[in-house]
Amino acid sequence: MGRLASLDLNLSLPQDEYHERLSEAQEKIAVLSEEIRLSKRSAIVAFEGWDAAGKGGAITRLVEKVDPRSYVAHSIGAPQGDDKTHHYLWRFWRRLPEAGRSAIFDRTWYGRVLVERVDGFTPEHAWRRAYREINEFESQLVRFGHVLVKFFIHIDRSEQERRFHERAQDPLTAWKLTEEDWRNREKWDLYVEAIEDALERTSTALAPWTLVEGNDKHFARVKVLETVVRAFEEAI
Amino acid sequence: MLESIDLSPSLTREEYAARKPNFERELFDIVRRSRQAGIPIIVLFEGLEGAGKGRAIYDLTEKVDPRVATVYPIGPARAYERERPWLWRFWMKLPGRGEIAIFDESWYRRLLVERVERKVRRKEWRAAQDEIPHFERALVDDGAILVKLFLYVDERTQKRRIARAERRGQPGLGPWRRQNRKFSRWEEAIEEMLERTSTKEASWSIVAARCGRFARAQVFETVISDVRRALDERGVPLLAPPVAAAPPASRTASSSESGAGSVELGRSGGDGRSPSHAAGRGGEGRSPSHAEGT
Repeated sequence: MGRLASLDLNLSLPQDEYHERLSEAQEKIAVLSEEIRLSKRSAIVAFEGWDAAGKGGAITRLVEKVDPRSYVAHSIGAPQGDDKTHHYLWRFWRRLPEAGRSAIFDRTWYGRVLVERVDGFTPEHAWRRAYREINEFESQLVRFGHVLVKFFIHIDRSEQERRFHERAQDPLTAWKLTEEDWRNREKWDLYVEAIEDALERTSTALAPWTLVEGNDKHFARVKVLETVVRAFEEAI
Repeated sequence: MLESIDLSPSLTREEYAARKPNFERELFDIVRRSRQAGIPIIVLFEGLEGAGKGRAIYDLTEKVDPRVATVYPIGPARAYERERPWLWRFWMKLPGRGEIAIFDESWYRRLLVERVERKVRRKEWRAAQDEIPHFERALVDDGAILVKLFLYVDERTQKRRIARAERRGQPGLGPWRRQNRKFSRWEEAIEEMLERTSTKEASWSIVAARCGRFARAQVFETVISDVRRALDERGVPLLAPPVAAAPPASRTASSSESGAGSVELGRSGGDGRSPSHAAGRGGEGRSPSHAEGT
């Protein structure tokens, strides 16, 4: 059974436990990220996941109590301009933070082996060698001293559909739903294949993946934050 | 292995002066092809102090459009560069499609001066012996053309050049003298570097630099043939020689057969695809360095 299929998407948290654990984790992150900053190190937190899986929501909760000067958040989409005329990793090297500042990536270099693979933007021989290139990239980050945490937030197909409809109803979020999101749904199985390959080939001792059961947003956010707390504690 | 390099070949001033325009023309041609095809070119220079890197780079780039090629002099990492993984500062200088980057010293510093002068720990330069081939492979796999040149002179020649530079009052000879004193340690580092980092797609070319003119001719030849071979392997088409546009019929007093009325000045007839590229043979164009005609 694949890694995604073996996740229990029924995991959830009751309301009050969510608030309690979230606050506790946020406070710890505030303290730990300050320590990381003072020791001139950087954290790099990378998020991948389905559309509407809750990456944005997790990021918001992650940084809520953190000094905004100490990090930068990058939203990654289709490359444009110079990003497009350089090596695919160039735009990520460019966005690496200086020592003491941290970076959060909402979508990442994994686009190469996910959307670019499924939509055929990148030929097979190129995305096939990308797993190794990504591992080499990440090992340079970790050996330099960055604290690298990688998340894949998983939801099931029907949960995604439910959330898409929810977005469509709410005028404040309706803009988020695009033609492309619906088109990508049709390639769900192809994406599962691509994701499983990526998880298998790029989960290394230096840079393991954390899979997040995302059907319940509360559970997901707490898992993300508590994982970050543990990663920071180990790094210091 | 370095001791077996034949440093005797030389060129007279006249010989070099005769060959140089041909080199420049051929270089213009391959630059045009790679620009058209959107292929990035990286040429990196390493070499012993006093071997003539600077002059070689100067001659190589003299007639190349400065908007297309950038020369990066690499020295010790600045403070802000040390705040990121060591290859970061080189990623930042990589050329985009159709651009050219020339490195005067490069990531190989790690295996050369930083190793010999103990600026980095052994663990770090040993790691670099793997990181560098991985880095270069990623670039070449992605379609870049990489040319690596090492300019070599022997210990005695270097000593003579240091003495000559001293007589001229040239400043900044400290590193030259240091290298000459530790010459055998340098050779050890260079040999190991050549062994560990010469790959099929990114092989080293050693340039015998006792004669400066010979070295410069070698540099031209190596860059031209390496890039041309890579372009041919990638199936990049040859281009017809660029043709200057004729002036519009109405302007000339004696207009014979100047094609259709509306031909724009400044656009080449042959390949009208790069308006910023000067039309004309061998460098008639807008940028001052192209002032000489054929």
